Amino acid sequence: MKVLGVSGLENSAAFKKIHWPHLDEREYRMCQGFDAAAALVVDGKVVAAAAEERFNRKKHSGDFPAQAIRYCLAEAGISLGDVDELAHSFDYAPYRAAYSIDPLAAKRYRDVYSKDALLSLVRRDLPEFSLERVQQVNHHLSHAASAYFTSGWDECLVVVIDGMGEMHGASVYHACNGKLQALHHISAHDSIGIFYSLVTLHLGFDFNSDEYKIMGLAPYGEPTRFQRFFDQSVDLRKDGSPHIPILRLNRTRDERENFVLTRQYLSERLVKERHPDSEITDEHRDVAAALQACLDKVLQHLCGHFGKQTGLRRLALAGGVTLNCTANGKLTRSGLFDEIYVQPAAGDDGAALGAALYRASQGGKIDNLRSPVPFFGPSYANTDIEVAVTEYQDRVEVVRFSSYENTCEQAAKSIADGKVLGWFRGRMEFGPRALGHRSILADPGHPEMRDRINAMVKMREAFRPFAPAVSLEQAHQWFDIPPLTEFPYMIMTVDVRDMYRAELPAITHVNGSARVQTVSAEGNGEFHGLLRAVGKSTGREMVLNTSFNIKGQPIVNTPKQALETFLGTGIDQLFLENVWIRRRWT
Amino acid sequence: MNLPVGNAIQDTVVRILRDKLEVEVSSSETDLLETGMIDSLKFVDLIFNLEQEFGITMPMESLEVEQFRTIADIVLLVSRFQSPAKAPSGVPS
Repeated sequence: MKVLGVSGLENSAAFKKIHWPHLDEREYRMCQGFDAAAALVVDGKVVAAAAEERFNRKKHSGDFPAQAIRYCLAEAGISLGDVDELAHSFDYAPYRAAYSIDPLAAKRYRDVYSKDALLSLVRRDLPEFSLERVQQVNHHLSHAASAYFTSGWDECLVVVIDGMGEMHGASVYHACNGKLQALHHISAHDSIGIFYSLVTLHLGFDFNSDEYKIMGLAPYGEPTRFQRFFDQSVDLRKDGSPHIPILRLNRTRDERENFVLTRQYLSERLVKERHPDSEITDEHRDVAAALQACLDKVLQHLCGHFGKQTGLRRLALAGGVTLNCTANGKLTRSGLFDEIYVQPAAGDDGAALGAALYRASQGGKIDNLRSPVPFFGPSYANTDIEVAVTEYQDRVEVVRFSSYENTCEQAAKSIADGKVLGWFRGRMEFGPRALGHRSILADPGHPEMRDRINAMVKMREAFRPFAPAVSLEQAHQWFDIPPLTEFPYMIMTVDVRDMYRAELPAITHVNGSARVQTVSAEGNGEFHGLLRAVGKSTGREMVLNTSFNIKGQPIVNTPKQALETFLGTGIDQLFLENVWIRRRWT
Repeated sequence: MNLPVGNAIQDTVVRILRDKLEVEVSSSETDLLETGMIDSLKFVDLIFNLEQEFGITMPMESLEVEQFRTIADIVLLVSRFQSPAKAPSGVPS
């Protein structure tokens, strides 16, 4: 059975712009349906998956993922006619009555959420596809399936936490023997994801986009100053749910749409709203710290409650909130569970994968194997690289290595010399993290490296630390984890061992933590080979690993995009597969 | 609040609206939809809470928003769901 999963709601942001025309650009992110993606599952196995933003170059794009679909089909060598089902990761049909509550809600249902709206996009972009094969899967069920069916576990607790699905802010499932049984849903009125995003917006960052920056800012602050506010705002109930009354303050349609009174409340009772261009003060850092502490507590309360109730000691997580590495790390260290797995594409791109896996599971039992490092995106042939290089030949010097070993040797030498490298190999990652195929790499031991990459390459906020990628064999040496503990998806924070914190300034956060990626020969072989070579040149099988993009742009997909980004930034050298590229200085 | 007391279903509906949905209603005939007191999310929350409190199942697909216009309408709907004879298929007429 061949199932194509898709996510995103193309008309969602456009609908908001038409009906609320005078909002700040950042406020238009207060809606559903970003991060469109396509994923192809054939006979229960993930064959290909990619976010549409990587093709149309619009970050977080919610457009119907026509280009990602075409890529998935090409990767599998099949045509659209071979696809048994197209499964969308939203199903609003059960809530049709709820949306008939007023004319504007009804119009939004018709234009954005309904199956007819989906079918018109399918008709537009995939005209030859039979509409009878289009299915819809509940949003949280899609996320849950993405976590369960890639966990490698027959039985586990599954918790989905995001801003909201169709109507809910979090959902809990008992997964067993290929089935997902819903145990509990939490209303979007009590969504910790929405609450976190609103405070993110209040602090001058982007709703439903920049929450990871608040997570990065939090360790610079002191949580106790605003702890009382957050304790009072988020009540942890005995049934495991958070209760967040300030999300219910909004009475009129306009107030509800844009959380007007909630935001006013934050201004009056927490701190004044920060303008994005204004300075970040201790007050903002302290709010970020208290907010993060609040999320950490909610996650442990919710997951812990249902872990205890069911007796399940394995936990699988998905949904955008579970991209929060700090909260995930604290949950892992809490001892509430024996094992925790976070599906690496935990945001809405991953819901496309989940919709496909769920529908595939309805067609028959599928093999539940732990997700590999998610290199599910496109790769490019040497001919593609040569075409791109030729286009820029007057600006670059090129050396072609005959083997990967020689490539690694040169890359390791460059890293030891303090160079910043663009590193482009193999199939692109699925999900938000660059895991060694579309990465910017450098030596984490150079004290100026963080500021240098932040300013010259990423053009991003100076307070944010970078993540380390380290060989599985050496990870425990540098980080406070047991030997051979795997964190292959860069989705958990751990502590850098005390004695190495000063030695690793570029990847050690101010609180001593790091968003570690462990790299094994088995799971991420080529990247592991590079780390081994780096170990010989620097004494550490470790690199600083950050995504190959600049601020506001999606991660590069093609060799040409890699070259353009390289030439447009301060990256010192670029490796496109075994081709070593440097700037030509004239 | 000027709502008459004594009707157990009505009392519970009022309590759900007040305590769970934070919606204060002045009369059993107040139009919850026209006044914008109830939106799509609250509608779904209301159904969930009615199901929990009254031990009934209200299939979302079979409901119409008009059945929730006033507290009096909601009381009528709940009583139909509570009475299998009046709603033999589980769906009120």
